[in-house]
Amino acid sequence: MCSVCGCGEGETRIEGHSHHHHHGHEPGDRQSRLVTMEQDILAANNNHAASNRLRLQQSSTLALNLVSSPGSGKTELLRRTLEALHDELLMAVVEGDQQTSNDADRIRATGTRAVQINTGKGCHLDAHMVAHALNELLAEKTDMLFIENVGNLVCPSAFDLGEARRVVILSVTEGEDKPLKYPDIFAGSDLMVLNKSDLLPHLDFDVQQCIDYARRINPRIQVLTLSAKSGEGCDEWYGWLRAARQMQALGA
Amino acid sequence: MHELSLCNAIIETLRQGAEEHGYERVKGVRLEIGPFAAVDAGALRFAFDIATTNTLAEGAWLEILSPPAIARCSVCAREVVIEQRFDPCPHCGAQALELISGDAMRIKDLEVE
Repeated sequence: MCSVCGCGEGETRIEGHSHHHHHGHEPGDRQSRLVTMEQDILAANNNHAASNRLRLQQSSTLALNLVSSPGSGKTELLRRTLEALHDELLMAVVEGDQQTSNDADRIRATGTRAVQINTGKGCHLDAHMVAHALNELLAEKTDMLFIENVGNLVCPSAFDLGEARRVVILSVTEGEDKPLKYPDIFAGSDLMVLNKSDLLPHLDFDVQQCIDYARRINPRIQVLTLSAKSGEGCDEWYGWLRAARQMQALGA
Repeated sequence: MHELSLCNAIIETLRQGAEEHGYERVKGVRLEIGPFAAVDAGALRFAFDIATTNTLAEGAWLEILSPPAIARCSVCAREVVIEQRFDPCPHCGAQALELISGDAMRIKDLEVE
């Protein structure tokens, strides 16, 4: 692992950065003894996340961690949101994918600043990667930062990035019982967005059942149903974002 | 490869510990992995052997403790050992169990020299 900044993934690529890796010691010749540690394995990530959270609060930036399976429509919802709120808010995006800068390119086409993180074989973004992206993006005033995580309903749940709110996006083509099958990510999210509502007439998806399942896993989860394609329900989503921003300004 | 990145995190902690506690090699690691922790103990064990090669913990033994998960019901206030995470309370039936312990991933202690 990099002894300069603590990163582990030799294949992680963050636009504009490179890392050097150092290696360890020679074996010694001493008596065996027990050392008590009692330390969380993810302590390093939690420390980076806490530091990110503090920076974001100090710069009055609302950060959102968007999680979902691949293909739920995260990027399209982001594009529509960026276009709709372009004149109202200064926004930026962190994109996470294993490979390509396709999503960051799509975001930049809206005139929004974006940094692409390629995780290589990695399955989730972590707080250290996000810290590097913040170095780039917080150099300019940013009211709202969207972090689009790697498409994965499992691994991102364990990694605090320092966000103010976590939003899980589920599309109506995915099946009502996803919250039961992937409980950790729904338990850890503040808002569930049910996307692709324009397709409901063609599906047997039971919206209320899905909401009930989600509330079983997380009684306090909020829910919005919308279509990033048609725009239906998106005004409520923008309202939620504005409210979250106001709450952060009050320290919540 | 998730368990491998967790092992890298463990090894980094071991390296930092070497400076703090003044040891040079790690002979053994004792972990606590709760039943609801986001990791598979078998995969972690496999990854540990690979990840520790050429490090200060090469060849170290690995013990994984897995104490039972305990939850408290926010309706009837009873504490119960639970085996499934999102089950209702076995005493009062409410969908109100909150996990008190059972999802930890901790390094408990080390044998060093």
